Amino acid sequence: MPVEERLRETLTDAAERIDVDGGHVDAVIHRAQRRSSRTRVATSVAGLLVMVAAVWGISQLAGIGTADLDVLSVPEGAQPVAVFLCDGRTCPEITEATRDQLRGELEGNPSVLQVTFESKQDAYRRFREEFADQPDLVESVSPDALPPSLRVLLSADANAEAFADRYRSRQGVEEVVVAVEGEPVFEGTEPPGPAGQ
Amino acid sequence: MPAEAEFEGFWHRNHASLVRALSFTLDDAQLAADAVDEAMTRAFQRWSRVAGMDDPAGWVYRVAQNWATSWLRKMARRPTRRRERLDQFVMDAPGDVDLIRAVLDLSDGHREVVVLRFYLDWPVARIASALDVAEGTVKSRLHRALSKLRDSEAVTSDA
Repeated sequence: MPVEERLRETLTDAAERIDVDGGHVDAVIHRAQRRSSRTRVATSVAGLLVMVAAVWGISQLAGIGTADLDVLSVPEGAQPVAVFLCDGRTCPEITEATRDQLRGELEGNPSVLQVTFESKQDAYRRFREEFADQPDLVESVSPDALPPSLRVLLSADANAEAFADRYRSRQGVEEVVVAVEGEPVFEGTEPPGPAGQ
Repeated sequence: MPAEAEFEGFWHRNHASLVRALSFTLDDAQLAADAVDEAMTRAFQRWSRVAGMDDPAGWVYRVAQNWATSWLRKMARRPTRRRERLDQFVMDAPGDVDLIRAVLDLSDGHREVVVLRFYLDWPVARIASALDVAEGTVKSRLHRALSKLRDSEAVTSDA
């Protein structure tokens, strides 16, 4: 018997011996419905920025630099804050002059340890890399969806929320997100286990 | 037909075979079950889109496989979980134990195409589309896998 035929028989036979519990389709449906109500927040524009900033923030805290963000050592307790700039999508595009002025101001702020500019293209490229294990999320976000940003590291003793409030209302700033420590809440991070979550 | 009923039909037709196929690919039955659950959850979240695809089961397989691979990468530093390898299940099988052992000894990529082709019976084009690789890649992987299996057969049958 040719090996192909033997494979068909043998694999089918062997596969039948693998116990599969298929009775929990209802649990899977419920889990999907719970996530959909959470994901509705995450797929709004503001929610997407929160997710992106959170993942970036965690990589900063873990000391994992990406090619374009030079992170050699992050001081203990440093707080990553993402200042998303207007690019015409939700607010009039920030001018280069305003952006330079903003950046200069941030760099002059004694609480600011580091400022890096991330272009729309860089943001989209990094988003695709970081969320590569969620192809549907990646597919649902267009290359234009992520604004450029100034990625800021604040010192540990700075009041990050006050900083965010101050810059959020500035002309040319779309949103400021204080990256929160800990696991970001987005689909797929739950550890594997029975479909009870 | 309402989405839930349609999804349940899809589940009943595909769940077991997808878990079994992925169990072989990963050589890990528990991880495969969890991965397919994850992929099926995502499928239902976007059911109208997935149901309209040419190959929804292929989509579920790929999402499950990607998820399992990425999960293994993340958990590599925390080896607390025992892996549920397949040899314990399949070695009691009557019939071709040597062939199963040879399949389990193949590299992941080779084992995967063998399982999709000869257990799920997917044609080469469907495998290529599910794995998002070129048909030529699938064909050459199959070719190499089969020749490895034939060689291992030749060795053991001469013994």
